[in-house]
Amino acid sequence: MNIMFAGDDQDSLQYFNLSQNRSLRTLETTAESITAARSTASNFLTTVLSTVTSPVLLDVVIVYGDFDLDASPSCSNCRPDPVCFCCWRSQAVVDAPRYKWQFGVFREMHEARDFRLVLCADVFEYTVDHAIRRLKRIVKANGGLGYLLHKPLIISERRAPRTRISDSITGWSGKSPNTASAL
Amino acid sequence: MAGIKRLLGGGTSKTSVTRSSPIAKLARELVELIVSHLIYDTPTLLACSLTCYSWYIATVSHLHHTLTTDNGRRAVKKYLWPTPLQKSYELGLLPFVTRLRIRLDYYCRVKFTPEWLDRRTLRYFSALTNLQELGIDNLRVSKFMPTIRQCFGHFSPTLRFLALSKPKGSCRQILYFIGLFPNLQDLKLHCYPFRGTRKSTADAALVPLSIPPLRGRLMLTDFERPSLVRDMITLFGGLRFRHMDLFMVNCVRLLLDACAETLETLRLYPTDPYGEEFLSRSEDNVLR
Repeated sequence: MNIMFAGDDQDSLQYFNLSQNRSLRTLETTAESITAARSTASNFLTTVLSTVTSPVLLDVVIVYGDFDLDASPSCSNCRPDPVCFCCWRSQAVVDAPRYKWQFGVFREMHEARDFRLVLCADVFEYTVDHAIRRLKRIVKANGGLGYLLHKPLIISERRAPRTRISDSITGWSGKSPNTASAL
Repeated sequence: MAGIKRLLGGGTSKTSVTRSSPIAKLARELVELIVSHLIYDTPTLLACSLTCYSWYIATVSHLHHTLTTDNGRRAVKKYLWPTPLQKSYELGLLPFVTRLRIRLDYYCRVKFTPEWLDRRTLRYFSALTNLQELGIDNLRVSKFMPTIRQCFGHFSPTLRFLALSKPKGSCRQILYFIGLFPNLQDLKLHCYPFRGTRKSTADAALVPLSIPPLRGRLMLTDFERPSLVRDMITLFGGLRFRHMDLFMVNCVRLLLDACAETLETLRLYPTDPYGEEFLSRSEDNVLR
């Protein structure tokens, strides 16, 4: 990868320095990237957090997608309906090593700076209730978050099936153009 | 819900076939309320739309708000450009479409060029009178110049969200395209450096027709064109995004500084290679 910056050394050091962003209220990341980054995750997030100088209470939002909660957004039994109940009925492992890892990262982040933790289930509209329940079980199974000064929140981002999957590239679901089935 | 399903199923066995459907007697507001609970459930919405005309009217906008064409490697024939557009046009559904996604294969060399918009297709395009979100892969902006306004200008009153994956063109050309939409709030870009034509005098003189507000969300993925950001700051008089989502962006500092006064939400990823770079340099600095 070709990294191009003017005044390379100093500017590179400042990549994710948020000290100038005085109106910053929320820092978001995904549970998936925390798990994938392994040992880098804690170091990266604590370093970024320590640069925040915004005077308002900072919300750190951790976004959990369907797969992070052991649910598939679609399965052979549910097609073509993307709302998948049967996947959610399966017994998820709420104390899986990846959750233990993530909760360890939260604790280290808390040592770097005070914030309010927000666990956000980013799932289909119909599975929101299941996702919230599962997140509560995950929190309980991993020792809780009692050490935080501010009460953590568990919220959901209700999504239409057609806005999902290809969000990582550009815009909306490219897996199956949903409206086409109605034509 | 069970009541709705019973109604949709034709009621109980005692219901006379000669009597008018009780559904038709429901107040319009009530129908809209019921439908609003079903907007994410496409099969049920489809069933509702088949009950009677009033229910069709209540559901049609929820069923046809998204239109996707897919010319990717594994594309199915019925989704190939411009078939979905043509079908929707023939059924008079294009005014209901608020999202249009033109998907091309990620690794394919096929570009979205003016040849894709012949007179017939342009007619379908013009029928998209309520488009709020537009996503185009591999848009060859340079090939559309200087008549790009004729192809996309009719989206200008309504378009709020623009997603461009691997657009081809000079920074000025891309910004001219973005400037066609004076109500644009959110922007999603996936850009590599453009190694096309050299900067010409005409290109330097290219000024966007409007300065979009761009006060919503900026999403950048695999973004390696800091010159585009710099030109955007110059031509649009700064950046005012309130939310940013950045992954593998090589001008993070520039963006954070440009939105220093407005940025409220920032999404970062620990897997970002620039994050590792940031950390290693931070550690080097501490060691020094």
